[in-house]
Amino acid sequence: MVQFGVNVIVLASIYALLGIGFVILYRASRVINLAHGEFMMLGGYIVFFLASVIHGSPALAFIGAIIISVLLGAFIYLVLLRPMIGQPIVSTIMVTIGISILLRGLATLTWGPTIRSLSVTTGIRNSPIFLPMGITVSTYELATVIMAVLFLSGLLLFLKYIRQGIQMRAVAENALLASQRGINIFAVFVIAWSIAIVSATVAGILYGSNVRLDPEIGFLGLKALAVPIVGGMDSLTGLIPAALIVALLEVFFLTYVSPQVSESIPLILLLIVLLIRPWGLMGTKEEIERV
Amino acid sequence: MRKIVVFTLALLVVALALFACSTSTSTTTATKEPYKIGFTAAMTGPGAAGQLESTEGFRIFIETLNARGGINGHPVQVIYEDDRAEGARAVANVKKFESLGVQMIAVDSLSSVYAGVIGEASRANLPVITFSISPAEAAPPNPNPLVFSVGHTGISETHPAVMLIGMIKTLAKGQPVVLANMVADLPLARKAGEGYTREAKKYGMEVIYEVVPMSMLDLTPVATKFINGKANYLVYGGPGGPAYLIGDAMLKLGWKGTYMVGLAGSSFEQAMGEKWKGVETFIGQVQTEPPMLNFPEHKPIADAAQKYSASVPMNHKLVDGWFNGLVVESILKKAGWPADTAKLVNVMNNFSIERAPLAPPVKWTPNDHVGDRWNGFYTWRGGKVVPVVDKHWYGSSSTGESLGPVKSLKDAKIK
Repeated sequence: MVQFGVNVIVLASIYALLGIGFVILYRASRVINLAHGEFMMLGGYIVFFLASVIHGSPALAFIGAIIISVLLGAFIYLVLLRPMIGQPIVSTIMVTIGISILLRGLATLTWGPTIRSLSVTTGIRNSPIFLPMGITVSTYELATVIMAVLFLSGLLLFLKYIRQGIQMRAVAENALLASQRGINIFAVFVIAWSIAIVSATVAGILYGSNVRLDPEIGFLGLKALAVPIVGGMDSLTGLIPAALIVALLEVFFLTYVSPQVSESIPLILLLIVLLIRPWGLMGTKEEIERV
Repeated sequence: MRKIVVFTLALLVVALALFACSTSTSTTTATKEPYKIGFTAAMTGPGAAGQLESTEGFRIFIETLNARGGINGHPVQVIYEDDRAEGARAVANVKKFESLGVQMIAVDSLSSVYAGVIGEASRANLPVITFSISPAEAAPPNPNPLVFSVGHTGISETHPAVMLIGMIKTLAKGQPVVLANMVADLPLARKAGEGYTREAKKYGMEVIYEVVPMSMLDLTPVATKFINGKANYLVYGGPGGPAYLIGDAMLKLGWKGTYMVGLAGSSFEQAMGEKWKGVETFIGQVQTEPPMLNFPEHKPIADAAQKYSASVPMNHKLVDGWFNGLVVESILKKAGWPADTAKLVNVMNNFSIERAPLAPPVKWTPNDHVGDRWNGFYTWRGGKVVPVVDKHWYGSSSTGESLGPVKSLKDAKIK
């Protein structure tokens, strides 16, 4: 039973990390990035590439991947999304679908379909850690939980106390008013995209080391979309209870009902929430009506 | 000026004529009409890992054969097409092969293509030989007259269960076994899983059975279930991907039991040689002697792989494919020239070949187009890959009769 709880917390952590990217982008630009899972996959492969080239220094590979993610986020916004300004939101979402298909194809062509483990490439083994009460958690499972807590906390502090974070909140509240008050909303969007891609990369590194790295893991992004929907698309704090609920139900069904059914639990939850309470647990009701 | 132009043109025409004659002459003396085989395989897509490797092994064997002059001067021409383990693609491939006048269809793909390929080949009256996985259509007592199988998996419900559970029984030495039995949610994989459960219960083993969808990304909760159920042995039935995932999940949770790593879809070398190097509780299962053991007989295969630029590393799946080529060579030799369907089927109905020391024998009869299967079991011990026990090759007949264990494939004789 205790191990069941550990599995829920680990899964919730990876969902929360992915959920951050969805919420940040939605708050900033009302875009639901359906390529978020593929950016997670790409982040993992960037580390795989860097760790293969820079032998014996996984830290450099991780730092390099984060830097590349920041730049990639800026690139994606400036080159692909900014030209979509003035277009219907659904067109922008379609662009993200196109990006997801492109990324998956490129990854398959470049690295093939083989399932890899980043822990083998980086040399940091995913060893079991035996805790009291019969709990066993692996190195990267623990890292996933810690990173999810740190990333979410850091982001909340950033949005509350740091100038650019406050500007992001202002743009999320009312982009027109914010720009009239002198805030460079394009810079805000670049920062939002960079944060989103970094969160995806961190998720990709952890998932690729703990579970698997291959072109198919992008599907996790689709499952993770249920978390911000349940929690509220514009609510970072809503991610916490939402991630725990989605993970709990998924692991419960897997353990006590059937693995086949558990796969569809996040998507069923997504549909239920959209039907009953589309603004989620802690989202803003007006936001959903406007959308 | 005009004379120079005319003279130059005449010289060119004569040179071309001489060249054409020499080319056609060399063609006439160097090769007779080829045997034609249509080969549909999962070279890309989810099932690609293992099938691509064995297809490459087959290809380099055929290249080597043709370099030796083919079969009595007739080269073997193989037309390769990728089916991505998709039924519709595989059927389209067979139609193309038929239009190209092939004499035989070879299949190295997943079970998802078999119904379509066999149906189309039957319509075209072409014999089918399957590698990697054995379809039910080849199984005794009334196999499809045109379908034969060298597939290393054997009949899903029978061969894998007898071999794997038989070896577990040997290793357990009378101690209680709680068997974690995980299978992919695919038709033949489920049959294998049911076979494992049936065979395990025959020996009084407790079984924890889980069917997992191929789309499932993380198997940690499944591993938790197995560990909570006190499983001390783990088996898996299905394509390669989940085989790696469940092994990793069990290891990271600190499990100390024995994983019988069956790699229908990928290579012993990748799993035991790279991923789980040094893990002494994991036992790798092979269908041919893996190149990691450096038998002298591996050298010509390695040389051919280099000479003909094999696109995959030298591993036991490539060796498997090489020996599939040996089977096809033997069939064509016995059928003679020209080899029509009647002659080929007649040969295949009464066919046998010894392939030791690297590969097990093959035998087909009119009532059994599958025959016996043999699996070898190796593990890490003291920094080396060694047989898990002295008699580490375990066999099964098509009807589920245990044939093992034996010490080497030289002892796996045709009965």
